[in-house]
Amino acid sequence: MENRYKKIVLVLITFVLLILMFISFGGRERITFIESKLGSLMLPIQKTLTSIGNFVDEKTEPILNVLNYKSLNENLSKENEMLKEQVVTLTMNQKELTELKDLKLALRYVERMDSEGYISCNVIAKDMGNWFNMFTIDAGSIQGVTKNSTVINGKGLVGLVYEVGENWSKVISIIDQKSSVGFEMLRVDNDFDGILSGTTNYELIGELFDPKATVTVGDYIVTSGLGMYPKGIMIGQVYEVDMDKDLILNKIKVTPVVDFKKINKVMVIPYVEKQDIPIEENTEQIPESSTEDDQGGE
Amino acid sequence: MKTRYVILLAFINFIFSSTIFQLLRINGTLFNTCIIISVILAALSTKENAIVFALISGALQDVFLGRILGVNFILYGLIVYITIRLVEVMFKGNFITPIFLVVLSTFIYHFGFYIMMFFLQSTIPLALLYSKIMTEVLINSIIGFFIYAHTFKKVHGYKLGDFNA
Repeated sequence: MENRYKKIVLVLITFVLLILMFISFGGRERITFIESKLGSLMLPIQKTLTSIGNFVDEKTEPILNVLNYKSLNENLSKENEMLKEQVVTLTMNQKELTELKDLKLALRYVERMDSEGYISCNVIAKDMGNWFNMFTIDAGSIQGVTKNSTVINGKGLVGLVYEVGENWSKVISIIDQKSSVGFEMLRVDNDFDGILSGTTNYELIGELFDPKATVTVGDYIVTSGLGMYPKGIMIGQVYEVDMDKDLILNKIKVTPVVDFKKINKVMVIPYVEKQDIPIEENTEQIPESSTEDDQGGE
Repeated sequence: MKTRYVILLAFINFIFSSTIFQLLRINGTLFNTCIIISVILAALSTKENAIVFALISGALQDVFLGRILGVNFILYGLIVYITIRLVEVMFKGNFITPIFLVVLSTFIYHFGFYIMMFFLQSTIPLALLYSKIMTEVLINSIIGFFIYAHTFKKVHGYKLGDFNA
């Protein structure tokens, strides 16, 4: 009798868990009160321990990397020379951009997406497993974080908010195998689009939509604005290009600009659903000649 | 060991694994202390303690750092169930016992994870994770062996593998 009772309980628990799995698949819109409070309770302890860990890591890193400094120095010198050349080009572009901005103001052009109100926060816990790449941050619904908000740091794109607690949130990083990011090449012209996904070893692989796209090793890529991520956030640098003969597509391998092994401080750009501006309203404000000017400027 | 200490152990383990222990990743691989402690509790403590620890650890991992609720909860529960069944027919005082149990449990965890992710259409090809899984198996078995040996001496009063005791 007791065995039968145990079996029934076990079947019931399994059934409930299976339902839970399907409900939580893809992230929940809201988490329960208990989860939220429990997370808030553990937050100060996790925050303290993570800061201790970061401090230890910061202090021990120079000792562990002492042998790599020579090659690192050489690479930095090369990069410095390249950057000097880029500064000249960018100054010219900046001048052009200022002129275009003035023109935009004069034409009262409507901004579609304006990313304001960045939320600065710390990474307090990282995934314990080896399958996915998730972490927790110390900002939640109280601070204004919403599901699908973009997470960045000083270098570039970090990931996307998956679930939001009271003052903590779960984030999926872009190097997670299951994440996908729409990208474009960081170029003045021929900024081909594509899609990137994570791998298990801190790199990204992607495909370009245009089979005739030309990509070279060393090209930088940024978010294209397709999907959840805002346009123009730095993702990484191409380090390998392969042509998939079966799919006639260019495949690229990308090193992210963000060092995911040492990610401590991040910023959240709250997700705002894109609202379509009525075309009539938009065209009323932009005279016909302005569209030609904008295209010419690009 | 009282149940409240087991619950506390599960919380401490979760907090440490998600913070300080992250420094100890080797080639991006982190050892799994939940598996190690679950196996040791199942072999050297009571069934109840092992089940409580495994389920709380699984739930914490699912809620705060997991993609899908219930996956770790089920897997840690399964590992404890299998370990309890195995230790009934195994000699706990042998050197091989902890290594065998931890290695087997780590493989069960990853295989189970793969199957579940397959049905939830979230799987990652095992080939990509091969080196990570093997590294985890190796580190888990080394750490598991030392913790098991230490706990065994505390529980039984003699050293692991001391057949003259």
